[in-house]
Amino acid sequence: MSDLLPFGPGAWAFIALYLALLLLLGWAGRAARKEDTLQDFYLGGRGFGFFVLLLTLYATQYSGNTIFGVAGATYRFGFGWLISVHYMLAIIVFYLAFAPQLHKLSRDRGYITPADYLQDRFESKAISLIGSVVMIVALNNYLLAQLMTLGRAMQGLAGPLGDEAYNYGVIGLALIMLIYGTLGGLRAIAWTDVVQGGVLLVGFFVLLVLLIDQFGPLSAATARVVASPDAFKVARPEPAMLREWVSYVIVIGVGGALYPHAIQRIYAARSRRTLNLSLASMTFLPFVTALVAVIAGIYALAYVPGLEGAATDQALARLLRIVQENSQLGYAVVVLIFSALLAALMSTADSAMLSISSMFTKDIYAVHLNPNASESELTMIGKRCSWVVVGALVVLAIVLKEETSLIGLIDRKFDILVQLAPAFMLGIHAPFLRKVPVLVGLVAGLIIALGLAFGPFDFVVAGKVWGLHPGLYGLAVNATIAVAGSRWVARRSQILA
Amino acid sequence: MAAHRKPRRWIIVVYLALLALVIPWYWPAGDTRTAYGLPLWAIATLAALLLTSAFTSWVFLSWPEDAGDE
Repeated sequence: MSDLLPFGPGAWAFIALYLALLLLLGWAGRAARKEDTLQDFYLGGRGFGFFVLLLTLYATQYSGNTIFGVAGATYRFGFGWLISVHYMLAIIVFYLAFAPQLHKLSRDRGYITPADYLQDRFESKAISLIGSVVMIVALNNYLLAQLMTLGRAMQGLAGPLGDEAYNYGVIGLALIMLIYGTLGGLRAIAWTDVVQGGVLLVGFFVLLVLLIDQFGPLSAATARVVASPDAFKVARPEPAMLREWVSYVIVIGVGGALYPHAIQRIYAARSRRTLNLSLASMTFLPFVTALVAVIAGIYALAYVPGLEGAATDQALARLLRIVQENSQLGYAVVVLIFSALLAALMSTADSAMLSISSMFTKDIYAVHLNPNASESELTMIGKRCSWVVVGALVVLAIVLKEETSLIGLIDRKFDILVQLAPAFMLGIHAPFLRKVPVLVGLVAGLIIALGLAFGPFDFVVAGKVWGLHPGLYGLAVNATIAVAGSRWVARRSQILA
Repeated sequence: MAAHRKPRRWIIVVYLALLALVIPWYWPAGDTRTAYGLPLWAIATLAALLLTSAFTSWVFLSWPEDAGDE
């Protein structure tokens, strides 16, 4: 991650102050609690206004990967990684397919978790259970990736004590997140997101100014790349990468829109107008976030050439080190950018944690294990669930420290999440969609996606088939079965009637 | 249980057209000409992405309010 960015006591004090503020907001969230119910704890009482909703959606959607991962990918693929601007925008476009309608239904029918909609729409415990399990698996994977990145960030800062710093970093930051998350629920997490989203936005703006100030205009950086053996990274991507472009836009666009923590923010909006206004504003944020990360990757390609393999993910950190060593102001700015990285990681991880806890409590514990539990009992179980899940993932993050192939896992996460698209995006519009074809389609889609991803097939290259994610093949079959099967069932019932 | 609303299918057509503009399949391969530090194909892509943002924003803001909704 950040390859040796040595910080002094002042920088650590600033970061400690920032973390203390998060705890304070957790306490404030608890003080603002109106009732001891799942709706209050997991949806903040459904009272999020425009400002809080926008920043919590923003902070949650943009993870630590947006900063370092996108800069690293740009270093490897060049301007072709403008794909990242496109897929971040595609998430908002796919919200159009269901978010405004789902918000209205959630208020009318009192949904807390995404599976509440599935149960209400299809009246099938199997669809709801599979939906919850898919979402919990995908989010656990995501949360683990965020915890490992947190550890690597601390590892990078600590120099020779890196290994211990990784462990303490993961444990300490997870503990802070658990405290404010279980104190104040979604209300506290959304308030911390306002701070984290603000730091993130400022961090990206400052990063851009800093790069121009330190290295000169982008035109000079691009000219250096054009004059180097990496000149092909300035040209239009090859046809194979253009196919991957389409695949990334659909898989991340659909999968990102179906993130359970994002769906719960749709439920938490004060009104449909508030939701639409926030999503309308979100459409412009890829240009001040992902695009800046792409530009940073180009600067790294120009001024820190020669990185290969996993080291390319350190491209931005190496660039920042040059900046940090050159002036006191540069040092202060790097501390701010590091804080933005922490903000991006923690705001994504805390939301995933809360969403997992809500789905386990409401969709699994309350339905299958203890149907008579009261609301306050369920809230307590949810809090304990957060501690157990995060505790287990912290242990995994420490055990898997040396694993670097996380990008593979992240790709699989979207492959399975997109299989829920027919149930959510078609199911909300098409009354003819029936539960059995939707269930069969979902199971078939999951088998195809996972079978292609993990099976011993020679035609699967770098986790993709002809440049397309396995999840897309699964989704095509899944949607076909759901739609054609529902039509067939309807026709058969008509004939029998 | 499905929410009903008058479908606006032409929106999908606009998105497909925008997708075809954003992905630079139509640009000559190997062209490394730039302006302001951005390759020309990237400027075309970013302009189409900005159009996509503006269109999406408009669709959200012009969302018809259902009678009795909230």
